[in-house]
Amino acid sequence: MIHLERINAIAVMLLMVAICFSAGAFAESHQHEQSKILALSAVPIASGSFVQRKYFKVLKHPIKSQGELYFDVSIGLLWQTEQPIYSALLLKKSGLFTENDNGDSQEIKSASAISQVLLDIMSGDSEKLAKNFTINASAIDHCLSLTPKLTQLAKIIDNVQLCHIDTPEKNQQNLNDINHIILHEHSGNRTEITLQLTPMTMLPEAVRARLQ
Amino acid sequence: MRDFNKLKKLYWLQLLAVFLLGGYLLFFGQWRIESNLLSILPHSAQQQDFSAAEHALFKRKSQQLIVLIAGDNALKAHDALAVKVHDVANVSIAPLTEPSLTDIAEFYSPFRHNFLTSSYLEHLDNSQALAQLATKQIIQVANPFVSETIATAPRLNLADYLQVALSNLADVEFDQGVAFVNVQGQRYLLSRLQVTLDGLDLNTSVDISAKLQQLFNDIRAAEQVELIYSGILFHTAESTSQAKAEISTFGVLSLVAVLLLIWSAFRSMLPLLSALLVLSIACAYGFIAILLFFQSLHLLTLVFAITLIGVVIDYCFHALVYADRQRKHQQEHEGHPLTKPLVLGFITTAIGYFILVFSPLSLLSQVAVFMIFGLLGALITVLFLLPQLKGFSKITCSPFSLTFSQQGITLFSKVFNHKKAAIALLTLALILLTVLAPIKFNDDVRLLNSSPKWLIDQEVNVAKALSYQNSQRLIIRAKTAQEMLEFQEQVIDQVLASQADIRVKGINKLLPSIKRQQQHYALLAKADQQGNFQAVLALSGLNDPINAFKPLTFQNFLQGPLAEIAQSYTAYYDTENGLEYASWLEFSQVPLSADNLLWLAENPHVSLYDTASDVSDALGQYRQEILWLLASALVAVVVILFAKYGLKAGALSAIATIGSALLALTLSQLFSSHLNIFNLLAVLLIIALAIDYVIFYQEHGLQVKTFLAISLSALSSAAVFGILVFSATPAVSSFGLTVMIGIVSIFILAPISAKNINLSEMGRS
Repeated sequence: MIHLERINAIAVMLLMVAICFSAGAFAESHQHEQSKILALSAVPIASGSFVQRKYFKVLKHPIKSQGELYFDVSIGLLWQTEQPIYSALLLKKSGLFTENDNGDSQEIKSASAISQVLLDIMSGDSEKLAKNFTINASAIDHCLSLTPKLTQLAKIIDNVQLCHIDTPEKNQQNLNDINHIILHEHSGNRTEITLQLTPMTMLPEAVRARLQ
Repeated sequence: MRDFNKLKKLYWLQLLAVFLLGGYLLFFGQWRIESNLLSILPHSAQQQDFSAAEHALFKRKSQQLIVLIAGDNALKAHDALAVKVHDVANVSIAPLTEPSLTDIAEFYSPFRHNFLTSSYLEHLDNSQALAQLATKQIIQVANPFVSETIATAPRLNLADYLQVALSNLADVEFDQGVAFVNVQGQRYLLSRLQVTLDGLDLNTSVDISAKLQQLFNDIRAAEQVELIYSGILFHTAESTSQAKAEISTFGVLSLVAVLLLIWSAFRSMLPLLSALLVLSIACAYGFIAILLFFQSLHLLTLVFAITLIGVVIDYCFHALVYADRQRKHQQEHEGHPLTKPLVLGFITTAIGYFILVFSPLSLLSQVAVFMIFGLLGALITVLFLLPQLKGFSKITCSPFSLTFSQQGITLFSKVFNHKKAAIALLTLALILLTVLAPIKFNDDVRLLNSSPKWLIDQEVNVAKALSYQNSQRLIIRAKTAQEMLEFQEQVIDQVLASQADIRVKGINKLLPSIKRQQQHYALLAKADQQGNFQAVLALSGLNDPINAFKPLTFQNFLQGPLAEIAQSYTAYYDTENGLEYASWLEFSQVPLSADNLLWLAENPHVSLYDTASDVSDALGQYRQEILWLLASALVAVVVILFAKYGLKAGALSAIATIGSALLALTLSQLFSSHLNIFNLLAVLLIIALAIDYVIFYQEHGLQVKTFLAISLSALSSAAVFGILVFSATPAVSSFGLTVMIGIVSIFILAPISAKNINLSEMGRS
């Protein structure tokens, strides 16, 4: 009897020790799990096109724009709107810049967070996304719901939906490729972006020069 | 004899009165100790006009400490600091808060028609360009400014305006509620600590600084992070510790050197005790005088005041060397043989210092008062107290010292016999030195900074990280808040007109003057009437009728979500003429041009806030004044010496005095890269000492006792002043170097002024 009680006590202690250890490891394993849920295809360098629709609560119709994009995770992202007007946004190592028609750039301070998130999503940086967002399954098929952990992002974005939508013009897609992003803002406004990406080995020299 | 007894009684009475006064001042007087070098340096007239504004704007900031942490565990280290700093008394965290954009948008909404960026202003008459501007904003991915303002301000002029105005101030970013700055790709988390005690005393500063540094070291070690910090408190603590260490070390070393000299010269305890007594009374007199005339005593005054030992001991040496003659003179009802030269010496030295009493440098006023009263105390003690000491008249010089003196006289009598050659040699040496090392003055107050290099380096790193290292700040003051905002706009318009690349940081964008808001409102209303905003409004399909003008006032702003920024950039304060308002602007990226600086200098409402260069300018002016003072002092000395001792002796005395002063300056230049105001001040002291020596040689001739007394004086002074050369405070070491060289020069040159070689006196000795 006494022997059994001792065994029980030891078992309880071992269990407690195991719980303590696992609690410490939980955070790390949870993040790992989260990144596994995402399991995005890694695309470090790519070019492509986008169509963006901005839905403002106060507007009846969305505002549509479209253009080209280029990114290389090692140097940055070029987000170039062609329609309805030309505008360029450059996320460089040194910060976020806008570029006018003449090619003159101007830094936009404290506003690089959203562009960085877009770059992380498009390049499939699951680890970084898992670190900065809480990831859940979405009610919509082939979509995941990301809630920002960082205050800086959380102040602007309520939630990000990453979706894979089957489209007639498939771009070497599999289910792990994201081609539709929805940014929900606290204000109730949302931005929907549809992407079409082509992985590359190197960005065109002219684009690289603009991102340097 | 009866007169002497009366004087003795008077002496005791005044001593009692002085000590009673000292006791009262010490325990009941309102005085404090300071260690900030800037507090004792002169201020320019413009600085004085703006001192209230400066105080109101930067007082709180001056009590803030900045800590930057970088590394993998920076966040943990940042949190640990926030928790553990509460264990340090009188220091608390001053949180940096990020205002909510929703609150800001809501706050500005009623005034939305009063704000136009330069892009909007440029295109107000072009409907298409305005539509493009608005479209660019609206298509930006999740532009929070557009999201927050489009419903109430669909022209998007407010979104554009807030984006420009806020990003202009945003050197500091926020992540998870933690402020940070990015420096060359490295993220530094920013903590701001506030010293909560007003009127921090020096010991508390040292204590807080030590505890904080210990805390920083612990955090560095525990979290393996880079942690840098800055704040005036650390400089105050360092200079306090340094000054304290120097006062005690130099004071003790000087005293030991002087006491050893006395012992070697007299080989008895009584001279030692007499010297200690005179020194103690002199120091007490000096200290009581400072308490009487000044509200604060600067630690540097005490460092300089060590020099009192060097001068007072001269009086003691003369009294001790001539001690055996006193009884004889008293018995024969003759005047004391030392009275005349000592009083004459005191008067000339006191006159020299008296001029400094009115100096704009409070340090010099304090040193001068300390010296004059200290020397007065020493003089009357030497004349009236020492002769009363039992056995004082039996003090005799040691055979060693007499032999030394005789050998000295033999040596100097050779110089005495070749005066012309000596003078020619002196002239040649001065010319050579002037050619080899031409005298150069540098008045930059930063060269006098005694803070250790590691602390200055940290300060520079923090300044670089927070982008204010090469910035220029302006203070603007006015009678009303609106005037202040208008002056601010005038200044910015003036500067930007010729220097478009310059970056301006201030509250000007977030809070334009009512005048400017009205201008923008009128322009926007006019463009709207002309239909130039129709395309923009069509983008959203929203309406935004323009109502009557409603200004955003300073008072509104102080109650809004950006109140913290308002308090950081503006202040209002009471003056004799009522309430005044002040704000500051920071210019960076490009230095202000000479034309703009000139324009600003002529504007009575604006002052360039650059304490270092203001003080340097004032030091430069003051140096010029001291040069004139020195020239006048030298003329006065020459006149007195000529009048008192005749043409030949007067000329020789003048050559010895002026020659030693010039040698001290030129040799100081040879040993250091440049001279400063403290080298010149040393020359004033040299002249005072040189006159003492010359007067003694004139009165007594080159004889054993005079030579012995002067040698002992010179050696003790050289020891006392020489030790200051090792001070870590550049001001003190410059002073020490020049005085030491000067004393050696006087010692060598003064004998040429002696009226004769008193051989009979030599024989008697």
